[in-house]
Amino acid sequence: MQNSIRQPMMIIILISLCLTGCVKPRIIDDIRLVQARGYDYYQDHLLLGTITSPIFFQSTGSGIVQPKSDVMSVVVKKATEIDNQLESKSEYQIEPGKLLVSLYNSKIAADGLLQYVDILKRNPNISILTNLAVTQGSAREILQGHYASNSLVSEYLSDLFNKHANSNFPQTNMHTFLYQFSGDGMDPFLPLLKKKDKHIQIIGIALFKGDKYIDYIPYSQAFIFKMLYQSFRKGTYTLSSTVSKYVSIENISSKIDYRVIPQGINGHHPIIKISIKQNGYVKESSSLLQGKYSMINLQKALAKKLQKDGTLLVKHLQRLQTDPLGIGSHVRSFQRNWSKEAWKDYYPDADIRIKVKVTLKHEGIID
Amino acid sequence: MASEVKENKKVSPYLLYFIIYGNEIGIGIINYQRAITNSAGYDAWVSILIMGLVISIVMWMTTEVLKDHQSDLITIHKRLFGKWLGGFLSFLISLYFLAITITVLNTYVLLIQVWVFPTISYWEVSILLSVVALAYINGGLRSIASMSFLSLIFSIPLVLAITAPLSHLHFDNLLPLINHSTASMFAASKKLAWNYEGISILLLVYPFIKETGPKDSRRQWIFYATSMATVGYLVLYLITITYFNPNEVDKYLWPTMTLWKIVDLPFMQRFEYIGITIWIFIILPNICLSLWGASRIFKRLFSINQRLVVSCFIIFINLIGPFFNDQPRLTLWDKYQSICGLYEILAYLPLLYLYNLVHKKMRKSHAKQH
Repeated sequence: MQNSIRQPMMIIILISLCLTGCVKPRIIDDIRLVQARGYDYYQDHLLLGTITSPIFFQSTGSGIVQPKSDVMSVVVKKATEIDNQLESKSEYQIEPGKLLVSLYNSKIAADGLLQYVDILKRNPNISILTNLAVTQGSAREILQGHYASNSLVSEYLSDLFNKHANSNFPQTNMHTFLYQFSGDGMDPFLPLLKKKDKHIQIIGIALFKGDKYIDYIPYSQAFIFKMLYQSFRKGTYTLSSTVSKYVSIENISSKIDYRVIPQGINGHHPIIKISIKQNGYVKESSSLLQGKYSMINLQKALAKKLQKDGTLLVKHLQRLQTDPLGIGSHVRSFQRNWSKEAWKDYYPDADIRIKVKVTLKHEGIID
Repeated sequence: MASEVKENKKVSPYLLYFIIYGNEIGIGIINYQRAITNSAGYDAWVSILIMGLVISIVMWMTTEVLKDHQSDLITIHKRLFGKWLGGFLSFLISLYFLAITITVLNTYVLLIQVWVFPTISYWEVSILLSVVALAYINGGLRSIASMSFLSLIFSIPLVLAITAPLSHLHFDNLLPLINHSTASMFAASKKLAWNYEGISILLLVYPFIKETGPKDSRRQWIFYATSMATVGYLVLYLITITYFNPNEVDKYLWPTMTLWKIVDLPFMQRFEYIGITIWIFIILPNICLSLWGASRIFKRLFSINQRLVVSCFIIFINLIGPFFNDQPRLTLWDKYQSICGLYEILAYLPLLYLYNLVHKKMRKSHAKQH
């Protein structure tokens, strides 16, 4: 009995070993790994799609050979045709699996990014943490450029974003974009890039209304923005009273706390109270920290300045009717009968009060 | 009596924990978040707790019935409903187990086709899995139980992977607490029945569990397994709903897989490939136990060799499976199957318990009269 079962079992198992290797292998040398994409308008209604992929050379002798960036672009009518058209140019199979960065020209972003992001999020091979960014000027030019620090523009950009996510700039990627886009009472934001000679610069925070790019906040305001957006560590902020006298502050921690009085005082509109506790130390200073510039006075001056800048920034966002800070979503979490429409009407005149407290721990190693 | 199980085929009571847990955490965990968020929004975590409680009660009822009869489903059916009706009900339950097998297998094959190998054919995966399942089932319940144990061990990397998004959670999403109607929460609970439908295997496994010592520890292990499965579902749901936006969860067909996508290891860009591979060990207990259950009923009903039945079932599944190997058809299949599961767990098992109570009273009064 046992043997009569065992024999056919062995045969089945042996046969099933033949099933392996049925899937087409993909060897790294024979495929093109797309690492960055760029989208521009071409003439009026045509689309210029650009991809870059690294080409690795064999090292001939000593030393490491830097990979070269291969840039290909095509003009198409619709975003979905780009990969199709690129196939006709490339001698190797194009694989999207290692996409790091996707760039969109500000004009494209102004017409709505969702249709482009949808292509990325539908593909199971593409990481949900892919960096998205808006470019001032041509996305293709950025991808085509040769940069001093890294010969691969895709890696350069992705390192740039990752570094900034840990300092003054809030973290952005496809996940945050989709999160903010689909969330109630919040709007997405992305970094805004510009090519400057041998470097790429983040010049600000691109603001969206829905999925449409409308305006941007300059990079100098990024610290204020991040302070109002989330709790974080490690940012730098410069307080300058005059051109010659300035103090640069490195922050150790910034803690944000949202309080919403759901019914407000008159029983109708909510009051939003944002209180921020900054904890930092003096990093650079152009003058002695005495008298008018003593630590105590400095703390007060800083708090006042941050509070003023924060209030101005929020006012600006309210005027633009976009809510990248997610204030609406905070109100929603306090209000049981929160409605999207009512909030939208109320937001431009919303009563938002910001309070900043600054504590400076030390002034470095000299007096 | 035919239902007596030989001592050397029995398993220790603690293995019941792995059997039940392995059957409760199955293929459903890959996308249950979507269905329940559809009904109850971000408050669906309450539904998970409700369902965990309901399942515990149903399990308690089932063990009561089993304790009374000290036998398995076929004997219980025969005693309560007579030879023909009882036999027919057992036959239906057998088909139900077979349907569960098809659901699990097809979902897994589709998962591989969508995420890893778009060109792979149904047979290539299904035959491989069937052969493995056949080998385990031929080893009897003892080997299936051991494999359920291994399944839990192998799934530890998956649990660790879920910790990746922990620093990016927005707990605001859960506020204001309980802002949905009770009806919608119960509707979400109903959708969870699909995840727990494997539990009726207890009706067949019960006689295989050893009774050790004066205290019957079987019920205790079942309770532990159900609680742990519920906690598992709850934690994963809370992570999903706070990492993604509640409005967004609906757009992902497999939220758990998308959560794995954010794991970024230096040597591995795509964790979901590892995840899907390890997933085999999570669905194997499901497939093995349901196939074993289906064939066990056939064996007891018609006195056929169980190995022969299993082989026939496997051929049958591999023939019928490809028909449901695309998204729209599988969704339709799942829909009807989950309705079956819902009635089986929430209507049939409690009814069996109540009927058994009435039957017992009647027997007692009958005995008194004579």
